[in-house]
Amino acid sequence: MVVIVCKRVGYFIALISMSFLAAFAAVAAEVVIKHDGGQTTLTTTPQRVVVLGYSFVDALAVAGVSPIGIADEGDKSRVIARVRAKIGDWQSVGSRYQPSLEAISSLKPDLIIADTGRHQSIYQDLSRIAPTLLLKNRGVSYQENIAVMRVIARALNKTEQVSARLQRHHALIKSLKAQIKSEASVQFAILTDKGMWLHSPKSYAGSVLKALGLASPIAGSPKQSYLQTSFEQLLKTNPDWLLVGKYSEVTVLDKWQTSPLWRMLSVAKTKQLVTVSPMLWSLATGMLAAEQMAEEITQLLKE
Amino acid sequence: MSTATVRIINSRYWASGTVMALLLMAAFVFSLISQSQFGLSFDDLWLTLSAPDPASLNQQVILSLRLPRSLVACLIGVNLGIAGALMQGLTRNPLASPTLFAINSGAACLMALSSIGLGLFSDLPIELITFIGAFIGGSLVLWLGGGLSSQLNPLRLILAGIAINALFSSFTRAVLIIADDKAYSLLHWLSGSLSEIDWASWSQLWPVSLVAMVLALTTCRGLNLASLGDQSAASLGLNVLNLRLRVCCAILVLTAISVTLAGPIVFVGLIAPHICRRLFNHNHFLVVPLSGLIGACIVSVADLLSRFVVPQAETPVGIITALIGTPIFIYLALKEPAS
Repeated sequence: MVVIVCKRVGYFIALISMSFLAAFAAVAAEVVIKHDGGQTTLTTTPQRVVVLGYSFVDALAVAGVSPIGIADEGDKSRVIARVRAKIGDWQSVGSRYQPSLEAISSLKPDLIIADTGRHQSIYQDLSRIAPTLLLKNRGVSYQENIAVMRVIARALNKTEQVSARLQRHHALIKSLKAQIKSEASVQFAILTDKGMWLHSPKSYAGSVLKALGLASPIAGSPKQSYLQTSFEQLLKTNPDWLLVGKYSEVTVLDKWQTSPLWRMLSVAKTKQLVTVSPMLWSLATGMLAAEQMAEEITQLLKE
Repeated sequence: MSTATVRIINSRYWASGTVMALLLMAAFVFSLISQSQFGLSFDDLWLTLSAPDPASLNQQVILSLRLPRSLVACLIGVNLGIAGALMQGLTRNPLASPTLFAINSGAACLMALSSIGLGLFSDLPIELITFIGAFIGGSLVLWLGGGLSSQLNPLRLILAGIAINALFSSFTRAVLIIADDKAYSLLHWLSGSLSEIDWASWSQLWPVSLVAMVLALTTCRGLNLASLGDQSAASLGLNVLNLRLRVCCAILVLTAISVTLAGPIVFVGLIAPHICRRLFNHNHFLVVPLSGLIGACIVSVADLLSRFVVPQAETPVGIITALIGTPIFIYLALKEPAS
């Protein structure tokens, strides 16, 4: 009799303790992420992720997670090759400026990563579809993006993997920086038929160049990321290397090249005017993009 | 009126006119050298005139970059001022401006559509596209508003203008949303900018403007008569339809060429005739050309000021004209004699 009671008590104690352990384990698996929209608790590791910015795709690729939906303006080629190689196929959910909430919810995601700059107004709507993180994408700099990557890694429970990869990344940047050792000033600019926009050291491209130890030809420390520049201002800025990303066939540069003042630019004399991909240098803004940008500029400066 | 009063009035006009002309010249000269990172000064300006040196960078900057921009700013100001005066004379409505004819929004819409490479638009030169857009906008408004019917109903014209403006603006906005990465450059153009002006722009601007200005001046007498009302004017021997045709043509061409080269610059066509009527009188022989002078002042001063706003970057001149224009307009509206 006593034995039976002891056994029952034993089973009871075992049951209680196991349920406590289970509850504890469940609580331990919960992750609380602090982001620009507040705080989000993730009870399980997200498997179906929808991202609304290209730097987030890059971050996911580094973490080894393939997004199921990307706000890519309906154009898959906007994701750079290096990132596309690491992820599977995805569904387009519209433009970053105005993603389609229907498309997002039809994918039944369990995590949405949105841009603080663009999606503040729809944050509530997105949160109703799935737990949403609001992180900086528009106007993000190189260092800020690394911090964002760590937040995403925590949310995806891939902190170790991403940290290891980031260490390799920093080592790569350091070695490229050592290879460059150039005093030349390098400037990246976007060209359209309406004007030229210089990307200052506050922009992503500018901050990558700065991380590589390259000098910026812009005087002072401008607060803005993108500076619209007239021909006269370009003459004054006069970078040693000018990397241009063209958003249209005919740009203002063609007009400026016909001016008698064109030959006063040092890039006109040294022919150090290089056309690069605007998708990579302006749009991509991710760690893998930064590596590709760094390799490209190292190649150019070594020649 | 006694001869003494007439002389006073005339000398007051001369005083106002001289002040305006001096303001224009000052703005012109200062815009040639101000806020340049090359540190341009009056000495450079004097040397450019007296001892031209093709190798000097400073002089070349003044001649190749600054001079055409200042000239174009003046001429665009003249165009918009005259267009505004004609517009207000045509509709007999002091709130009318060239924007009413949806010329700016038509040009903007076609410019936006070509930015995203829509079909045939992307093959033509951008100036032509904008010019065509301006004309399409203006023609649509005239057609819808019954501009060339025997009886001009100014209210109908204004309503048509509002409707077509809304239509084109919504298309432009849609393009801005679809092409987010190109939107930044488009938004800059939409505020009106003189930063890409060169001698080629000047050579496109002055012949067209000259023809349109001559046309505008031929309408002065007609506009004076038309201010009495269409029927009274017709009974005085005015061919109302012919006048309207000439006025509409002049407005269309003047505004279209301005928006093609510099984007939409607002408020100039609205305020210049008002200032003119306050300083001078309502006689269109004075109002039309002098609105041009005042328009030139406004745009030149605005372009000069736009260099100071953000020191190392370009601020669209349209923002400055709106900033200058709004308080002036409020002041004029408050001071308007109740009649």
